Amino acid sequence: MGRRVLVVGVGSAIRGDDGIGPAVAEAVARAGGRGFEWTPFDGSALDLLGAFAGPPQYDCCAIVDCLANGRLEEGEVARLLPPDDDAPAGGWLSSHHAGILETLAMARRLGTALPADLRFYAVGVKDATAFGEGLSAGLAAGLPTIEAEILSDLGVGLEGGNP
Amino acid sequence: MQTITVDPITRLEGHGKFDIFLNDAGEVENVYFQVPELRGIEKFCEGRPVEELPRITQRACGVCPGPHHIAASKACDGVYGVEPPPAGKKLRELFLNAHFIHSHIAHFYALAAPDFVVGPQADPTTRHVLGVVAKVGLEIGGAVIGSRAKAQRIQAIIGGKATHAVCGLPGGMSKALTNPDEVAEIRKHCEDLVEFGKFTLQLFDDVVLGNSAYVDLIVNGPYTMKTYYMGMVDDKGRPNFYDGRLRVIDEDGDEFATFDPKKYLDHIAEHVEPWSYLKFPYLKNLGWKGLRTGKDSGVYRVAPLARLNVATGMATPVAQQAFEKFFTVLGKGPVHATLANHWARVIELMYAAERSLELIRDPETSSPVVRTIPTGIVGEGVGVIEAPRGTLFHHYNTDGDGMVTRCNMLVATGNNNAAICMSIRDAAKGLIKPGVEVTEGVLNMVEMAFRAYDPCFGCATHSLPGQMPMEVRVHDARGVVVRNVIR
Repeated sequence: MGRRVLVVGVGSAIRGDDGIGPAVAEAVARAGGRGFEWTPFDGSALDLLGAFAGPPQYDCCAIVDCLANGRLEEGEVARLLPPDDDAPAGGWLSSHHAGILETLAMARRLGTALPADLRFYAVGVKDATAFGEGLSAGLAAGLPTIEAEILSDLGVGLEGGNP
Repeated sequence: MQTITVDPITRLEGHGKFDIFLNDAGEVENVYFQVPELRGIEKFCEGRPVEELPRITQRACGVCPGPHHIAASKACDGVYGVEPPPAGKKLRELFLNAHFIHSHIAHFYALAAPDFVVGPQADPTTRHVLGVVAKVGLEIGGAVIGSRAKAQRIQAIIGGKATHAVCGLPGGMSKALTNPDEVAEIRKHCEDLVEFGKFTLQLFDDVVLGNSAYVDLIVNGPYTMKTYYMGMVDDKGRPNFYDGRLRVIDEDGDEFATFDPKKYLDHIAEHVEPWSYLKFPYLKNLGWKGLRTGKDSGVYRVAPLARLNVATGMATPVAQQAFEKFFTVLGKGPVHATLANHWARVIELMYAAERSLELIRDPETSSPVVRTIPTGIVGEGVGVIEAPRGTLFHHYNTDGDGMVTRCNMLVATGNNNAAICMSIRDAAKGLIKPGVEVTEGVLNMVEMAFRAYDPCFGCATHSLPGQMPMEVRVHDARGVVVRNVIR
């Protein structure tokens, strides 16, 4: 059986380029072929815990989100490294304060079977707050390139599909 | 005058703060509970096609989107003057009950249980969901996560996505549940969730009701308040989260009103205070008398405790047994102990699981006919349901083309605003006395007063009232104030 990959697309589909995460996740999963699944993530961090509930399902989890602080050009992809120390796993002030790292730390503390291969990808955008559906023209045009870069990093060949 | 500030408050959905003012004798003079969030969703819905509102309004919150999606869909039915077919209604109800299940699980285990399982004055570094898991075991922690995932999977199958669904349309649903594999999967999840509901009722029995100190806190602590109560009931007076009439009882349990939810403006009005972005709904026929109790006060409460108080029973068997035990232990209703919301919430979890199983077993739920296509437009629609946190109202006005001209949302938690303010005040007055050290644990016990309501202030603060005094403090990632803007 091939490698099982879950691609998590972080972002809201009605906040313009904030939707790049889910758009990329869907594109990567479709091109990745058998063994690839994707899920959007735009709610409570507890919901992401549910993706890993039960027996181990995935060998790899790739999390994709936008980055709007000017450190990446629009459409530029960077792979982020998680911090060395474990994020606070339970000391939330409210569930709104539980982000990806806090959720993953909690999953480890709960004995949840997280994939050994966890990857974080940031895609540069200019604005992640505009109200509207659909990506901006420039970002939409760059989607195939973004998809190819992430697939390449995941070890999926140009012809697509799990190795 | 000394001030004690808790900012931000913890273990809730959204953001809030409260300030306790002590007089020179060290007694609590007053408490102001404020919701500093400003959202504006009602305003930017104006000018949108009304059929977009089920998808837009649910973005008010990433925790409570399901109820908004369903209430908005019902309001859209009204705008177009259409009634969904039975399967459309049953799918909406199943989706909504699935939401109740995971919402109530999250609140009980992650937000409320730390106070009762770890302890209300325990070390805050352990008084959270992981502290609960450390006490009850990893296996139970896994069951909690897994059960929430099952309920959300039900929503994802019906709604397209678990969070921010795409199924609600004017006149019904966008997709029927005719795939036998999906029906079988939902049925299996519902069966498992019924068992988890029973487990949670037993856990509450063992951990909370089996601890006399906790029972004393619930019954005799500074958390009791006599108010009116409101909830949606079926034709037999039992809670139904999707449809029914709204019933209001007074503090003695006598019926005050029962009405068609679409006529809510005849019964509910909203008061505004200059120090909070959250309005104060009250019973119109009694009037706004301020933040006080009394039979002449228009303050009312919604959510689990209120729903059980207005009900004659529960519509499913195991929940009915739990309902009977609730009133046997706590006394003939109405029960005024605010912390009893936690028990009522677990009983509702049981009902939602049983009702979900009933619905998926019903062949009509799998009918391919799930929508009545609109053929005209009325231009006004009111959609009312019960959300986990209380009665939820969506009221839309449109022009002849279905473009929204006005959107009014009276959100579940908003109904409880006055009661929450009063509960925090009363808890502070009961717990903070001259000569008593105000420890972090004591402040947490004051916080327990709002936590019992399972408030969601992200949902509740959605209106844009216009020009008002505003101070905006911008903090960097380290919490340092980098900019202060005052209007």
